[in-house]
Amino acid sequence: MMAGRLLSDRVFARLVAVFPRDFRVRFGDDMRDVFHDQLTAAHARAGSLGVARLWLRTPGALLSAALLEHRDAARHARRARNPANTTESPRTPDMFQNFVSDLHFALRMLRKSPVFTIVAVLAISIGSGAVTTIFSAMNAIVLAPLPGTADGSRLVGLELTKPDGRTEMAASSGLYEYLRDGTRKVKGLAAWSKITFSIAAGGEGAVVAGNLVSGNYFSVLGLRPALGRFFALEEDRAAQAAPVVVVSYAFWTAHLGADSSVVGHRVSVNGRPYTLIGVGPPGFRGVISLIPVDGWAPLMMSAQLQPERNAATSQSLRMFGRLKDGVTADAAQSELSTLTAARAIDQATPAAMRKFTGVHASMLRGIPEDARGKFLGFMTLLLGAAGLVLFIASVNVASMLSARAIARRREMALRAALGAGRGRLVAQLLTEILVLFCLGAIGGVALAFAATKAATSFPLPTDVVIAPDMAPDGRVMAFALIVSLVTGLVFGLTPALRAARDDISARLRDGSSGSGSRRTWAGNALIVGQLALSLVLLVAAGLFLRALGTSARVDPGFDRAGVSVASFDSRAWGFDSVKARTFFHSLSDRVAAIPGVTSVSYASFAPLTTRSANDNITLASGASLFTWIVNVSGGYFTTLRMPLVAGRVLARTDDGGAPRVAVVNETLAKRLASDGSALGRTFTIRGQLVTVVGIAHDAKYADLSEATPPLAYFSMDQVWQPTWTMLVRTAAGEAQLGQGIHDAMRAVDPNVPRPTVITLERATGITLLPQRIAAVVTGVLGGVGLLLATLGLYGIIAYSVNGRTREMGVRVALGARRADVLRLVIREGMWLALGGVVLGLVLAALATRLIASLLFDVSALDAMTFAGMSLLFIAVALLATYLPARRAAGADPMAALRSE
Amino acid sequence: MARDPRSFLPLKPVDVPLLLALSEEERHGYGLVREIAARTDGLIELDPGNLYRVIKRLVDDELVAEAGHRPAHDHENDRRRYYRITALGGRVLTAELHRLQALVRSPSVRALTRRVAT
Repeated sequence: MMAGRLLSDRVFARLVAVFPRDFRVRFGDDMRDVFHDQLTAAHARAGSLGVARLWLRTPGALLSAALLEHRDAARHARRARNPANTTESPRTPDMFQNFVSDLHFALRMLRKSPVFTIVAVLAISIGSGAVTTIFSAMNAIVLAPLPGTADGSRLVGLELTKPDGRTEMAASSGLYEYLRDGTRKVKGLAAWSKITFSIAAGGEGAVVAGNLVSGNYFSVLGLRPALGRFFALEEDRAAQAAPVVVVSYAFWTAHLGADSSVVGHRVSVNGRPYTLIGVGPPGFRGVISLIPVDGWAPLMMSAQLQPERNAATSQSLRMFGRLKDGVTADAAQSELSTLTAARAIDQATPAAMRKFTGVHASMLRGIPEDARGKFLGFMTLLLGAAGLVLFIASVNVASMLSARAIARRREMALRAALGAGRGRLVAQLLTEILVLFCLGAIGGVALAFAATKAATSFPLPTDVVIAPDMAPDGRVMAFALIVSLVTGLVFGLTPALRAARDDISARLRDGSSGSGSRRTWAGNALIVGQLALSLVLLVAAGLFLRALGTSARVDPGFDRAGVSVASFDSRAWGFDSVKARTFFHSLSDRVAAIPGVTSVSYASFAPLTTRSANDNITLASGASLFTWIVNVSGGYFTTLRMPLVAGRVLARTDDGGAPRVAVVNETLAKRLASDGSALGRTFTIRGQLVTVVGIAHDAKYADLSEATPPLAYFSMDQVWQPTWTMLVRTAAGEAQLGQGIHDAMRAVDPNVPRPTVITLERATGITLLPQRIAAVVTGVLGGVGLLLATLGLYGIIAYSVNGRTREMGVRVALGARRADVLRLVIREGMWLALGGVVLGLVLAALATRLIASLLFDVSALDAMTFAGMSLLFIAVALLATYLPARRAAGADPMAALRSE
Repeated sequence: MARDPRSFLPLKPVDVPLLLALSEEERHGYGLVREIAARTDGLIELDPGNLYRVIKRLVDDELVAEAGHRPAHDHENDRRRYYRITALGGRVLTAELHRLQALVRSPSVRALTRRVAT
């Protein structure tokens, strides 16, 4: 409950934004305090019900107060501008006064029928909450500027473009400095590259993702340190001059005990003494939210931390900049492109950097540009699903409004007779409907707060962080409000117009309060539509679940079970390549000796983790082939139980002194020699001749749904990289193995920190992430949609049964049996349900095409899912019809006849 | 410049219980909400927005003034802004109460209330 009240406080704090700025500055905090006290008192008095009651009256009152305050402020300003003219133009206050009195009246009417109001607001809240939650996630991950940065919309991320249209993220330091010094449109151009840090403040170090950054990195982002300071420009001028480090707020709290005295003191970074000069602002974890960063050191320390990297040729810098005032991203892009193109034709430029002829600038976001489109597409699908729920909810509310309009005919007629024009009546009804939808929007935002919070703590089957905070911001709230108002207008206008149109004199003569004309064709159509849309959602959820089920049966070409993985970065230990190579070899020998371990090997990265590397190889024929690459040790094929088709596996003797060799997969083997004689053939990569010594079965490489790419396995002893993933086949558990590996590491070198060991199944979990998320989201939405639609069906049947009590009574009096009446009513409901099923199946068949690419081998028209969901659906509909039918059948004929 | 208290009359319905509440002791926002609700038998339960609209108007008219921040009775760690009634506010309130008194004592009101009572 405490959490609920905190949420209430937060929502209220956001609501205060509707007041004029001056008023907010003067009274904002006080208003929040008062509301907090009211909330506490309401909760103490009547629990959740009290809180709900408070929420029912506060937003409307707040809104009307804010409107009046805005009007006063505007009048005040007008008077200040034009002191002579103190009289108001008569028209504006009239309309305004009308609106305010409509608002007051609407609130009073809604309070008078609390059940209707609560049910309608709940329905809208659910629909609006679904849409708002998805949009909020979309906003946090893709649309909003990087969290914590000042004026983030002025930040642009840069990519380099090649003449063939392909782009690359990373530049050499030469190109970076050239652009940084040459640009006149970008205020500051910053750069960063990835590194792994092992940071220790006494005791055992923690291995974290880190960045080497240009001296202006933090100032370009516009960040302020939570403690200490960031880098000074001179700390990034001379190589190895300033061994200083900044850590993230998260690292500071988790590993340094949130102790402010550590700032200014020595810590060990990758085995070398550094001074900890500052702590970043809370929430900031680097510019890519997928890989949260915990430490930053100046780029100029690269020579010390990455001794074997040739700074001149290596190409690892990502660039971003802050646009000068008045400069657009397009203008900066064309200026930087011109600079890059000029450099490409300059003969003094290193050859590797001449391939870039342009720059692409786009707003800096937490997700890199290449992943953004894919993600947006996926989220748009989910947003569409949520939109269906909002639609269902709105239809529900529209039919409730229609029923209410009928019940209020006499009131309308009376008011019209007393002189209210039709326009005023419609305006008043619309105000009432829009207030409902506004309240629904507020409920939706509250739901979105709760849902995004739940989503961020939802255990993902992977260690990837999607976004640290997906809570709605101002943009999301504006979105929720606009969506609700538009939906309110669309669905509310017809009931409002109809209610105000009625013939006055006829209504006044009609003595009854105007109940029950038979329900209309339009009402039936709306119910069928709701049912159909909720079936579409259920079918989608079913398909995703089926896809997840089959994915477990998709054969990746290797055996995931029983394999654990640990990733190492030898740079974090301060090792050079010679020391690292020796270390990795002795480590694998020691790990192999751990009881329960049957096989140990290394790879550049584990398969099926969406990671990939590729390069062009040249075949003997001279043709060039785009090939995927992974560097492995000889045990790789044994560890993953991937038998070779022909030839031999790689061995430790395939080292720098031996001729270069490779194992290729069947797909690449066919490209090398279509007659199956690929063994012994050669190809070249980066000018080096490689001989094929083995052929491996085709296996999945980066993700489950891919078409098998041509793939070459190279020997880890013939290439060098500082990072390796160890794969261990073992009968022991993760924790036990983790301890074993750590002991083995310390036996080789006592200073290396503890590694993270996870099962390969967990590591490969990321490939199923879209399906899992989609299954959960469509499942929840489908359930909610079904509930709303069923309530709609129940409502309309119950309503119709009520209106026909007399008819039923007559039927029973004339000898109809109970079962006959039951059948009569159920038949009516079933026709509607069947209509919903048929329409739903047709719509689903059209819609599931959109998700076909996410379904692996499951057909988008999977008969089992379609049939199963239809049955579930009919069962629920039957229940919704049976309840009112039973009541109709139980009607006492005499009572029914007497009632007229 | 001292303004004539009568120029503020008649006060708005909510102003009277608010000024009365402040004439007893200095209060913070929520204290006022509670006091006004109690004085009107729950008829007027102000939301924060309208409460501070009223306060703003009364402060701008110099009938009420801020009395600084201090801890609320039941929130020891939390400092609230308190309000007090000004000398002018006191005079205006008195004038309004006289006006209401005269109104209540008028023969037609008496006749009406007697009819309701019986």
